[in-house]
Amino acid sequence: MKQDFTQIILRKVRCTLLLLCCFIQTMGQAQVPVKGVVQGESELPLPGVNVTVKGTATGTITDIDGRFELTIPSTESALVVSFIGYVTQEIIPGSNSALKITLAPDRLALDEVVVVGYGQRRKSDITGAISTLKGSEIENRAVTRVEQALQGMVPGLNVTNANGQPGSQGVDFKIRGTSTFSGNPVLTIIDGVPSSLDRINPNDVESISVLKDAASAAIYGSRATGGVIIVTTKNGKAGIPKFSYSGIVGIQSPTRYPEKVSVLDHALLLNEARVNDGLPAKYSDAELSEMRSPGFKSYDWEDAMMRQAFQQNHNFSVSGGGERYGYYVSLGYLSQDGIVINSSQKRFNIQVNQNFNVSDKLKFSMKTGVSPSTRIAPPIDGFFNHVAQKPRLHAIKSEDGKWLQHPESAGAGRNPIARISPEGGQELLKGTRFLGNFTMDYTPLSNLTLTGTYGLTSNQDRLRNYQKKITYYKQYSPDEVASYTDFNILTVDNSSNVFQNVNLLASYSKRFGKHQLSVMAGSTAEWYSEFNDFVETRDFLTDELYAISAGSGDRSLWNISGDAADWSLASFISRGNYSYLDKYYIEGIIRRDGSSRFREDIRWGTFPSVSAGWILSQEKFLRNSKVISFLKIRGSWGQVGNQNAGGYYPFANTLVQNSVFFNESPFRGVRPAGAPNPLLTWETKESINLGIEGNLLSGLLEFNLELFKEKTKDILLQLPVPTTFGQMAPVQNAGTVENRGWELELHHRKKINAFSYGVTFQISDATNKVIDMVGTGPRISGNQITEEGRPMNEWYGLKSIGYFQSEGEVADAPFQNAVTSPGDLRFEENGGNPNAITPDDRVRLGRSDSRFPFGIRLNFNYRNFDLLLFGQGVMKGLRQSQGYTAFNFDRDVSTIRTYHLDRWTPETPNARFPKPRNGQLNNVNTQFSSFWLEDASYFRFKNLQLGYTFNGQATGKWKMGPVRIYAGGENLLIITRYLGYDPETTNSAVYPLPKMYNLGINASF
Amino acid sequence: MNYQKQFRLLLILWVSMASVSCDDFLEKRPLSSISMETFWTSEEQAEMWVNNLYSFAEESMSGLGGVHVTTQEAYSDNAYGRTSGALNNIANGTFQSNDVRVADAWNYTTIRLCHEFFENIDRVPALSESGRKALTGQVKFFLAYEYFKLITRFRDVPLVTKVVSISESDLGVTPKSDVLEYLLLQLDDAIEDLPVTWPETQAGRITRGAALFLKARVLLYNERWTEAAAVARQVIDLEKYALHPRFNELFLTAFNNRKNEAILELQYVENVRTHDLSVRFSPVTYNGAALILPTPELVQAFEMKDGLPITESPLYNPQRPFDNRDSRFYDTFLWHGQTLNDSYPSLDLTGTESGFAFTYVYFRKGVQDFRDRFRPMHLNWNLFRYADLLLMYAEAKNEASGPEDSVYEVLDQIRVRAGMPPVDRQRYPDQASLRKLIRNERRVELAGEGLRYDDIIRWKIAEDVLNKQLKSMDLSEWEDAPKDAGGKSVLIEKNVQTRVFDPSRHYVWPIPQIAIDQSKNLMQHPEWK
Repeated sequence: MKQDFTQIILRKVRCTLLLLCCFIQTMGQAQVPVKGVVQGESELPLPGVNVTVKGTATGTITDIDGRFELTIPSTESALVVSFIGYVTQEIIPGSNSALKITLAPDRLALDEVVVVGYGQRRKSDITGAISTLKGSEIENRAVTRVEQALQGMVPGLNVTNANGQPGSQGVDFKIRGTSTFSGNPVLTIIDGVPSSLDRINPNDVESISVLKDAASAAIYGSRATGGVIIVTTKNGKAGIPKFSYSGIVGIQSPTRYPEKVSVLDHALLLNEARVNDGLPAKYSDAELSEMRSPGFKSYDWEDAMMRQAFQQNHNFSVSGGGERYGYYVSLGYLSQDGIVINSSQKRFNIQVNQNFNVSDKLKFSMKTGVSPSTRIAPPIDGFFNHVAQKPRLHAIKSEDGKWLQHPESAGAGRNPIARISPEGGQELLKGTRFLGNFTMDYTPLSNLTLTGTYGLTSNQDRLRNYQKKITYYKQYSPDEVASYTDFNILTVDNSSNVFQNVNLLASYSKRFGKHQLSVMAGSTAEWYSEFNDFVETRDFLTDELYAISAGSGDRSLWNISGDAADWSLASFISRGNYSYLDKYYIEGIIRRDGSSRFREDIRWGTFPSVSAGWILSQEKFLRNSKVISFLKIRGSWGQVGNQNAGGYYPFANTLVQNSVFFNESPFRGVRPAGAPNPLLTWETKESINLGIEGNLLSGLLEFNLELFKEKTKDILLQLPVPTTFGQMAPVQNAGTVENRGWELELHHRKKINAFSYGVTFQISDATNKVIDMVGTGPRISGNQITEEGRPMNEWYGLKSIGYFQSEGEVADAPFQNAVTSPGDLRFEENGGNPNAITPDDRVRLGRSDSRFPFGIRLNFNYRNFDLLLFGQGVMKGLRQSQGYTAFNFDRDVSTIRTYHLDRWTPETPNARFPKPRNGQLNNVNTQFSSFWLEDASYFRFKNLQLGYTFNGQATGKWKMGPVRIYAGGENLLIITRYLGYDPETTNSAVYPLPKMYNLGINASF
Repeated sequence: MNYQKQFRLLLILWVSMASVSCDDFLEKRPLSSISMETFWTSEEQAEMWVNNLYSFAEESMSGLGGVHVTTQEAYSDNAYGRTSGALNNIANGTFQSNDVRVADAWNYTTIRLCHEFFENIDRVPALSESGRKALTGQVKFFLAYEYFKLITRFRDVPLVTKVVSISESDLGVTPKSDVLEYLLLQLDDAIEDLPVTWPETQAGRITRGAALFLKARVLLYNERWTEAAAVARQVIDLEKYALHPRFNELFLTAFNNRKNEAILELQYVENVRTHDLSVRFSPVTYNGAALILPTPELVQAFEMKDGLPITESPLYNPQRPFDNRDSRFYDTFLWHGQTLNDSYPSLDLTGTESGFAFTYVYFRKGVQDFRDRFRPMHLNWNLFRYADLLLMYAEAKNEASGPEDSVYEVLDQIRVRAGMPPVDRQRYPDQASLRKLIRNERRVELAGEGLRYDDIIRWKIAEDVLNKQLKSMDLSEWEDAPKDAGGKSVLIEKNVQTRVFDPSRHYVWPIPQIAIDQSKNLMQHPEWK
C-alpha cells in the first residue's frame, strides 16, 4: 500500500519538480564532479529530488532513474538532498564519487497537518467534518478581509457581503445554515485567541480550518453552535532568510446600480401616477415639451456620489530560522479609496511570529500582530436612500461650486451629495488592534508535553464624526440662499475592549506497535471587558477644531453617555484519540464550561462528542484497486452550546435611568431595561455527521461528501408574548429546531504535456424545521412566519394574482381598499371574511433562506502561463424588493428606475409592475405581498487571474526566485434576475460592492 | 538535570493555577446599571419610578404623547397630512390592522409600569402617608389615561389589572363599559389622593384638577352628560383656573408654566427637551416641513368678527377672505403674504413653497414663537386647558338639560376673551342650535390641538365630514393672491385627496394585527374581520 501511495504522490509532484528543475541553473565555478542515485523505500529510484550544495544556489534534480550529476567546490562540501514527503538529508560526499542516498518518508509531511481546536492532527486522522484551506489558496486576491476570500471556497460555509464600505465592510457568514432562532455567530479564532477576522492581513495566513460538525467544534463547548473557524498565521521555517514581496494595484468601480428614468419619463410617470390617484397632473404640457428639448439639463446623482477608486496592497515578509530559532516577520499595507466619495481605509499589519527551542524539552513561541487602521466615511448614514430617490431634475452644484437645492426638496434629502462630501464633514475611525499569543511547551518526558498559553486581543477605537454647516442655494436662482443645515456637530466615541485567555494543557502521545494513542487535557480561563465613552456637542466657531471644548460652552447642548460590560468563561477540556493500524480511528472530546452569563447554580454545561473514521482504502480488498486510490468514511456525534442571549447579564433585572423635567429642572426617572430571566441557561445543539472522502483514479477526481443532521434544544428564544404583557419578551430556553443538510466538494486535476488544469466545485444545502416552540402559536414577525413543523421564517403575506383589468373585476372581487381600481394588484382570497381581503388571507409564500450556495474554481497552467477563474452563487432564494427599487413615487420628489417603465396601463395589461401611484396611495400596491418577492438566485464571477511566471535566476549569493505577474479582477460579472441593487447585499440601498480590475506581482528572493 | 523534580514543580504550579476558584471568576454583575432587586429602598426612588411615567417619545402616542398629539389633526377634517407615511391612512380610509398608527395606539407598557408600582410601593421603608398618596395618585391617573386612550380608539380591549406573567397576559377583550368603570375607579382614587397644587419647582405634575379634567373628558366621550357636567363644574369650583387674558400667549414659550389656564402642561426645556412642532406645522421656506396643513373647512369654520358665520355675515368678502375674522383666526393660521413673526420674510406661495402648500394655508398656532430656524422649540404643550374644560361643561350641560345660563356664560367667557361678541341668545335658543354653536366653538378654539378626530367620531359625523374630496382653498377671487402673467390668481381650487370613511367599520379601530398574531384569545372586532 505504501508503495501505491508513494506512487500517487510521486505522480502528483513530478511535473511540478520538473518545472522547478528548469528554473534552477547552476552558477559559479565548481571543481569536483560528483554523481549518485537517490532511492526511496524498497530501493525504488526517486526522480525529481532536489540536490544542492549547502549554503549555495548550486544544485540539480535527479532524473527519471533517480540519478544526478553535479560539480561541487570540494569533497567536503555538504549536499542537501530534499524531496517533498521525505526527511531531508545532508551528506558529505568525501571520496565517494558514486553516492547512494536513501531517503526516509516523512510521515507528518506526507500528510497535511490540520489545525484543530487546541492542537493539530494529521489530515488522515481527522474524524469530524473539518474543511481546510491553505493560505496559498487565498493569496493574490484583492480582498481586504479574510472572510471575503472564503466565499465560495468551503462547502457549508455561506459568506455574504452585506455592503462594500471600506473599513466596515459587512460580511455575514454562516456555517451549515440556520439551526436556531437565537444568534449563534461563527466562533473565529486567530492563533488560539478568539477574535474577529476583519483586521487580519490575508497574506499572513498559513491555514484556515473550518470546524463544521459538533464533534469537531465540541472542544470549544459553549460558543460553538455556529461552528468554528480557526486561522493560523505563518511560522518561520528553517533555512536561509526568504524575502517575499507581493503587491496588487487596482481600480474599483461600482458593481451594479439600478438606473433612474430620464427627466421626461419621471415627469410623465409622475403625472400618470397623480392622475391614477385622482390628482391633477403635476407637469404641464409646456413643461413637458421643455423637458423634451435637447438642451434640457439632467443631473446624475449616482455619478456625483460614486467614483472610480484606487486600491493598493503591499506585503513584505521575511522568514527563516535555524535549528533553535524560527521567525516570520511581515509588514502589510492596504490603502483602499472607496467607490463612494469621502470614504477610504488604510491599514497596516505588522506580524511578528517567533519560536525558540531553548532545549529539546523547552520551547517558546510567540505570535503577535498589530494593526493600526484608519477609516474615513461620510458623516451621515442613510444617504444611499436619499440619493436613490433624487430625480434627475434636481441639480447638485452650481458652476461656481454652490450646493443647490431644488424647490421641492427639503430636510435631510435636499442635497445628499453636499452632506456626504468632505464639505459636509467626515467620520474618522482610528483603531488599533493587537493580537498576541505566547506559548510555552515543556516536554518533561518524551511523550508528554505541557503547554501554557496566554492570549490577548484588544481593540482601541476612537470614532470622530464631524458634520459641517452647509448653505444651500436655490436651484433656479443660485444667488439666493435656499436654506442651511442646522449647526455643525461633533461626536466622539472612544471604545475599547480586551479579551484575554490562559490555557494550561497536558498532552500525551504514544505509539504501541499498531496502536497510536494520544490524550490531551487541561483547563482554560477566558475573560473579556469593554467600555465606551461618548460625547457630542455642537456650534463650533470654525470647522477645523475637532475637540469638544471648541464647541458650544452651553453644557445643555452636550450629550454624554458611557457604558461598560464584561463576561468570563472557565472551562475544562479533554480529548482522546486512538487509532489502530492507521486505518481505524476514534476520538472523544469532553468540555465543561462555566459562564458568567448564567446564575451560579445553572452556569455549568458539559459538551461531549465522539467520532470515528475508517480508511477503507487501506484494507486488502481495496488496496490494489485501480479506481479507488483513497477512501475514508467518517461518522460523528456531538453536543455544543450557545450562550448568546440578551446581553451579558440576562439574569439581572436592571433599570435604566432617564430624565424628566418639571419647571425646567431635571428629575431622575427609572424604568426596567427589559424582562430578565434568572433561569436562563445553555442552548444545546446535538449533531450527527457522516462523511465520505476519497480519491479516484490516482487523483483524477477527489471528492468529499458530508451529510449532517442537527437538533438544537433549549433554544435561547424571545417567544412572541401577548402585547398585553406590557414588556419586551424575555429570553427563554424554549423550542427545538432540526437542521439537516449536505455538502459536496469535487476536485479534478489533469496534466496533458505542458498543459494542466484543475476544477473545484462545491455545493451545499441545509433545511431547518421547527420541532417545538413550547406550544406557542405561529410566530409572525414582520412578513415572516415561524410555526411548528415548518421551516423557520417563511415568507408570509397576501398572495398577488395579477392585476385588476376592469372596474367590473374590482367590483366582483373581495373588497381590498377604498381606492382599488384597474391596474392595482389583485390579492387572493384565502379564508376569513370572503368579501374582503384582510390579514386572514395571508399565506406562506416560500422560504426566506438562500438555498444551494455553490462555488466553482477553474485553474489552467500552460508553461509559464496560469489562469484562474472563480465564481460563486446561490441557486435558489426569495428576497423582498422594497425601498426605492420597489415601485415608489414616495411623495412627489422621489423617482423610479428604468425597469419601472414596464408598468400597467390599459394598453399593457400584463406589464411587470402595477400602475404607478403617488405618495400616499402607493401603499395600495407596495405593501408586502408575493408580488414583491423576487428571485434572488445569482452567479457571480468573483475572481479572475491571468499570470505569467518569469523563471528564477541566481546571481552570486542571492537566488532570485520566480517572479509572477498577473492581471485580473474581482466581482467582474453577475448573472441574476434580481432587479434590486444586489442579490448579495442587504435589500435596501447600501454601499455597493466594488468591481475591480487589478495588476499584481509576487516575488521572492 | 533532575527532570523528575522539575516536572513535579511544574505540575504543582499548573494544578494550582487551574484550580483558582471558578465561581469568583465567573461572578459578574452589570457594570452600568442598577437592578430592580436593590431598588425601592426610599421614597425618592419610588418617585423616580413615577417620574419615568412622565417621559414620552416624540414620535408616538404612548404616555402623555407630547406635541405628537397634534398629528391627530390629520386624521380629521381639520387638516391634511402631507407625508407619505401612515399619517393619511386614517383620513383617507385605507388603514388596516397592520397600520403603524394603529399599532402605536395599542400600548400596554405604561399599564405594566403602573402595576409594578402598586406591587412594589409597600417595599419602601418609612414611606410617609402624604408621599404615598401623592405618588399613588399620579400613578392611578396614568393608568386611567392609558385605558381611556385605548377604549377611545379600540372600544373593547383586554383589561390588565395587575403585573401579569406571560401566561396570565394572554387575554381576550373586556367590554368597553367594564374597562370604563375600572378606569373611573382609578380616577376617583387619584382625585382624592392628588394635591390641588404642587410646589412651583414641580410644575407639570398631575394635580387633582388634571385628574378631574380627565374624568370630565372620559365621561363626556362616553355621553354620560350629567356626570360630565358635574365633574367639569368641580374643576371650575376649585377656583384655581381661569382663561388666560390673551389667547395668543397660550402658545408662547415665555408663558411656559405661567398660565392659569393650563391644567396640565407637558414640559419642555430649551436644548434639552425640545419638540419639532415647528417642523410639522411651518412652511418649508421657514425651515419647516409643512407636514400638517389646515383644511378649507377649518378655515371657513371661523366666524366673522361680528359673530356670524361667513355664509351669513355681511362682513365676508371673497375678495378679502382673510379680513374681519374672529381674532383667533389670526393666531391660528398663516397664509400667503403673512409672516410667522418678524424673523421671517412674508410667506410666498409661488416659489419653493408652491410644491408644499397643498391647501394654501398653514398653522401658526403653536409655532408663532419659532424664530431661530436652527433651534427646535421648547414651548410647553397645553395638554389640558381650561377653555377645553369650559367647552366640555357647555356641551355636557347642553346635552344633559338643554340651554341654561351657565352654558351661555362659559361660552361667553371664551368668546369675549377672543374679542368676539357674546353668544346671541336669540340666534341659539335651543339645544339643537346651541349644540351646533358649541361644536363649532370647540373646533375653532381648539383648532390644531389634536382633539377634532375624537369629536367627529363621538358625534358620529365623520361619515359626513371625512367622506369626501379634500380640496385646497379657492382663492381665485382673492385680491392679494399671487397672479399669473394673465393677471389671474394662481391659487385656484384643486383636489388634494380623496377621503373615504366607511361608517360600518371606521368608527372603531381594528385591533393591531401584531396583537392578534401574538395572542390566542384576542379576536378582531367583527367590523374588521
